Amino acid sequence: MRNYIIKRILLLIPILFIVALIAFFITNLMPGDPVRVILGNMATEAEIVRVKASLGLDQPLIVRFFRWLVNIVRGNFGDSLYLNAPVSQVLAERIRPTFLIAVFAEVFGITAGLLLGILAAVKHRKFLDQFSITISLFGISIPSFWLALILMYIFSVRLGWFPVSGYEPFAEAGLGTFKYIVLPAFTLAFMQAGLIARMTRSAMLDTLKHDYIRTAKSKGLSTYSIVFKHALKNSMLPIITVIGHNFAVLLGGTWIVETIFVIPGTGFMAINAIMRRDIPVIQASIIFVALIYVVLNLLVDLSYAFLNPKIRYQ
Amino acid sequence: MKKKLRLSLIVLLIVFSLLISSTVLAQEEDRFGGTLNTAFQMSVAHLDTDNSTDSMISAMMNHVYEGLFEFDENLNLTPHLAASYEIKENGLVYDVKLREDVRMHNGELMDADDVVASFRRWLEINNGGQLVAPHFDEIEKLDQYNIRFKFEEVYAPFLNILASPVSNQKFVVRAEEVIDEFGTDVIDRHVGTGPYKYEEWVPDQKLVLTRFEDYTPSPREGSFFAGERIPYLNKIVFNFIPDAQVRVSGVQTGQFHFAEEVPRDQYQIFKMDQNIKNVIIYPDRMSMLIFNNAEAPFDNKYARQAIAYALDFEELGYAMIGDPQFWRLESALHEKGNPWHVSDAGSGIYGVYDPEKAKQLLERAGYDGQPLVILSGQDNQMERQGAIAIQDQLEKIGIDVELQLFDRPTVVERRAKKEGWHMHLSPFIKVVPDPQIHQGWTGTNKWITNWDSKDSRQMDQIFAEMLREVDYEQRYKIVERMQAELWDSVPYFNILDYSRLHIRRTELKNFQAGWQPFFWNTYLE
Amino acid sequence: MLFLKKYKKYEHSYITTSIIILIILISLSLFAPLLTDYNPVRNNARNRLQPPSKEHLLGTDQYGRDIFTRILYGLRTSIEVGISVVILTVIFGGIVGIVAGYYPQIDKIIMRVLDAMMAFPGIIIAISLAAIWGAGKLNIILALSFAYFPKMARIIRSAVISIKDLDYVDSARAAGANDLRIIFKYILKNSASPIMVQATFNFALAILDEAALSFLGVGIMPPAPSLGAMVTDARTYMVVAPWMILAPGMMIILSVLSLNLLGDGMRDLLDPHLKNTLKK
Repeated sequence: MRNYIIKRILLLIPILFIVALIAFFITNLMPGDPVRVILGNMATEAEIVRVKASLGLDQPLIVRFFRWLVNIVRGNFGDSLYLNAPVSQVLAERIRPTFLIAVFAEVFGITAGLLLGILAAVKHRKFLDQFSITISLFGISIPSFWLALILMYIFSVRLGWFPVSGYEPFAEAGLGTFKYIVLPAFTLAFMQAGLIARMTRSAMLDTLKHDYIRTAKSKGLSTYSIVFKHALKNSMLPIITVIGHNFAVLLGGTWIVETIFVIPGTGFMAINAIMRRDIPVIQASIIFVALIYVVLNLLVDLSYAFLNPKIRYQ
Repeated sequence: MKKKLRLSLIVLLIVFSLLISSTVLAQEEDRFGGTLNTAFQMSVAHLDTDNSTDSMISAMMNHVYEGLFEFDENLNLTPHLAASYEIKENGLVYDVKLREDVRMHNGELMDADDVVASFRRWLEINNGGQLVAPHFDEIEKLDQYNIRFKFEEVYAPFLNILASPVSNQKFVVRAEEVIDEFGTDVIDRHVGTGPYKYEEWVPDQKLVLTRFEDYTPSPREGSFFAGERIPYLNKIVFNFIPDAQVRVSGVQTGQFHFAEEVPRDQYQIFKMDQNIKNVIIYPDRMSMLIFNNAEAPFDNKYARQAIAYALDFEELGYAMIGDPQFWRLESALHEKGNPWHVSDAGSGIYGVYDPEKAKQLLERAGYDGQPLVILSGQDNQMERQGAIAIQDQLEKIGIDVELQLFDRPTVVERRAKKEGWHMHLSPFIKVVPDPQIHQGWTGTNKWITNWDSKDSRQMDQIFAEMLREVDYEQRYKIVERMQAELWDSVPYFNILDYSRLHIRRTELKNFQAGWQPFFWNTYLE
Repeated sequence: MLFLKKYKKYEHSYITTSIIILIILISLSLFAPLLTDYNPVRNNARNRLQPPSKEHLLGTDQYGRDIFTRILYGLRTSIEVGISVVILTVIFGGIVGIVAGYYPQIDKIIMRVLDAMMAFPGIIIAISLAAIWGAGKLNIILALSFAYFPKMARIIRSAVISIKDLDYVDSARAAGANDLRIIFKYILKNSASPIMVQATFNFALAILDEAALSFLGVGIMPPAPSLGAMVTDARTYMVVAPWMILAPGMMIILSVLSLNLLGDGMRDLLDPHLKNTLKK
């Protein structure tokens, strides 16, 4: 097992190197010059050259790439061109609201998804099954930016239950933070619930077909204990997989949802950075999302290996 | 007995008058205090006005820094940190006497050294300074509170440019020690003379200013940026809220006292709200259509004129701004009421919708039917909606148009090139105190126009004459010629003037709708 | 084809329903010029922000354009983008997947690169690429294809690996068939089912992501109608013109939903075991 873990971790190095390579060149090939944004509408060419040199942006691309690579290995992503601070520090601050939203969305999503999926499997081909299928199909088909706006219109503009958008950190607003989190988290949870419900349903249906479930039934065990003690336990692997794989999708979703609800998280930061070419921040954001994705995938695979020893020796 | 009565009457009177005066004083005293929360649209890259052309920076830093001269409500130039001035040697020399009691945020008194250091930096790197620099000789410290500005040739608009609110051209006084420390680099330590001092800046989130307790107000009567500024508020917080609806709901719920640039279509909704007042800024902005004068067909003035005839400006007003109370047709570069307003500018071409004539002119210019590229920004409503509406109108009369809407950095980079675009829409600040200021973007190869022809050199000539003319009547005639030349060769033209809508809470008192929002002299009830 | 052989109209109601909806949507977009008197891009700004009425079934937007008309044409854009992305994804994914599956020598390198590409969520790749290339239909199609093809390549690669060592492929090779012939005759034919299922889901995803990119302003270049960009406009005028937001969203949901339904149906039909290996 230990060798397997080490092997898998070593495999991350080339993947992350390629990610870094793509991230660096994508961001530097973008048209649009951050210096012109810094200097404003009427800047002259002489001013642009002067500020460019002072930011070190006049060096050749390849020199900047290796300098940058060495720095990020040390955990230094450089300084933001606009935020007057090191990117790593900014990222650490901005991660909190994103994390809150993601966790809430995931908790909502898993609860609703499991519930819907189990109901559908237990009541296979009955009304509840159809109902659950429909809801989960909607979950994966509704564009999150549209759902966010509809929720905002109904619950904030019309009913006034939540602020239209904005955010106050936990340290300042205490529990008041949550009124800013509910709508964005629910928007993202809807899609997660759809994905998880679909997977739960099919995994449960597969499990319920097995002989040991029939044996349990014939032994007279209650439906409750069959479903929760046996079937659900044995369907967990594919469900965990879908959750793990889709967490990165969830993080991608926060890019749009944070922008709509104006929440100063990592996604809002990334979109902002793209719109004004804050290159170090864009690079760090891409690497951040990719890193979470590969680490989660690693954990999913390791849990597979842990539960199913055959994989380790392949 | 009578005496006693009289005495007690006098005592009563004294007590009474004391009471009255103390309540009056208390009322005056009551105005002090409170934290003002404002919501502004755009975050800024830094706070150094000399190093940017973003007027949002000076809107905020006007509270921290002051100019030698400032404009009052009627755009009259008024000495501010200067006590008085004298123009000598037919306009080659400006002697300025400074106010001697002005305390800076570092506790020291402002003197000639601070002004000289600040001016040298402004002259070198500021956009306004660069307008002045070619004609300037040197700045000289006469004594601790007297300064001499010397020119190589007569430069009439000098003082107006020092106080110009356009594109951050204003000259402000910073402490010499700060300039020694930063040189031409972006300053992030702020020591000025203003009624508020820099407290905290969290990029993308907020700027916090606090009252400068030792502030020395100008002895003149307060009017907009000039004269007495009283810092009633303890603290001013500028929050950066890019989403308009968030700014609006913040004011509706009382979280903010003031919000910049809110959706004009919601004017009626705000009007019905008892707690909110609409603030319409006038004259504010003009929407400028700029041609790439180097690229065919717009290297020919007939093609440029054709576009003015091809567009229905009123329809454009509805499409790019909306409600007609927020926009008006205006052919002149200076609004009505401004001393430089030319009422018959562009007559015969401005606002004349004549597609047939447009087609003839295009033919005359030898236009070969190639698609015309409109390059504009996504992030500004006027630019985006105006570009879409212009494309629609030109296509309606059979001109092929390619629309290129990009985010800010891409637009700024592409329009700086000599080829690849034909037209660009841009919002310009309408409050231009001196016609010379237009020289920054009008003339041979100025700004992005790539205008380089016989006409452009003639325009340079007009501005050179304007520069030397100090008599108002004579100078006005030159401005008339400048406007006539502009509407003949049309390197760019203003489609219309428009206003932004701000909103404020009713508890914010004494607020005045200036071209840049300011909060000295305002207080909270 | 396998698909048609197994399909029975009444037993597979999902497929039937989704195909009917899709046919309706496609004809709506194809026959748009017959269904409306308005032009999707012509302005009439004096008539801006009108609520729904007899003249304008779904009201007008801030340029006075008819929203009903723009939805029909916007749907056309979505379908064009969707189909193009599916075709390009199959081509890119096919080439890379077959090369990786067929030639184990370079399989490892290709897989690492694909892993790295999959580590970016698709929308982030698309945003970055759209920012580089600029907005526009062609660029969106390329960006989305680029984002989706790694998954398609993996599916095709595993199909290739599972088939290429089977006896009948071996015997074909022994009979002197060259690689290209084997790839086309046996492998592609036999991996059609998973490709078709994945392609259907990609179609749905492409419609969603095009809308999201246009919503962010890096998608279809205005004034061309795009359902996502219509939602952006609706957001700006949500308080004064709430009718602008409902219709474009509904159109996106309807098309994506029916495609997902079709994908589900096809998956059940073609290979019940695929259920757990394919994720959307």
